[in-house]
Amino acid sequence: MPEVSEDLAGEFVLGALEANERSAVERRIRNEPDFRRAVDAWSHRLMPLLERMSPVIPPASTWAAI
Amino acid sequence: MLTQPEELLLELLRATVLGDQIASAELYRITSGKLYAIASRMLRRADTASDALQEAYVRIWTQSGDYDVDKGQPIHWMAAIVRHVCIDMLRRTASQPLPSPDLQEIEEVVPPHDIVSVDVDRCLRRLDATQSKAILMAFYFGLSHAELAQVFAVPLGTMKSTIRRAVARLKECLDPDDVNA
Repeated sequence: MPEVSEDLAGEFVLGALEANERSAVERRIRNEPDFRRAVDAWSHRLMPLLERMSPVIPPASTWAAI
Repeated sequence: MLTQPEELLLELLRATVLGDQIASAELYRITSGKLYAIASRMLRRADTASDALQEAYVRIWTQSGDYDVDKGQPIHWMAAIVRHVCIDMLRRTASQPLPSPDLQEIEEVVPPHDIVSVDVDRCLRRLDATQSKAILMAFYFGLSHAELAQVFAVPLGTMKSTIRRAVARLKECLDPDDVNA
């Protein structure tokens, strides 16, 4: 995987891309298995940051609406 | 949330694939606090956060068959879905007031671990201040390059290279054995 694609996968998981860039990345995720693996690897690297967040109970109406 | 046995979430996801509604409801009960925290942080509005959560759970249930352990922990896969929904909503709607790049404020919202047990936290500390703040703001608030440039009052190109360098350094720090890093 070229470094530029690796970085792009990282920026996608990070959430910094604009709407048009995101659509292009989503197409690559569907069509390029190597790129999809790069995205999964970035997810693996960054998602532990979510451990910093304490849960917030959603309003009961949210469940009712589902 | 992440300390819960991952096996339980895995079992609930698998039961959801088979159409078990009790399992789907249980999955919601034990994970919605975490996912709602993510959505409310990103969208910064309770009503849209609730909409995002609804959309995310519908996707989680319908896509539960796509989950496999290669995609990471079940909660991370679910979190990726809610983040995806939120970022799409953020990019569609007119800009909200942007959060400030004050590290103290960011860390009030998402305190770092006292004990640096998470690799990514350890690696973030090796970045320079702007890099790590920009990474945290993109990750927790879903800010785009352009929004980050505005928040940090720098040109867009500068912000893009800041992020790109930060991403490359994070990868280098997290995968030290990778000769290509």
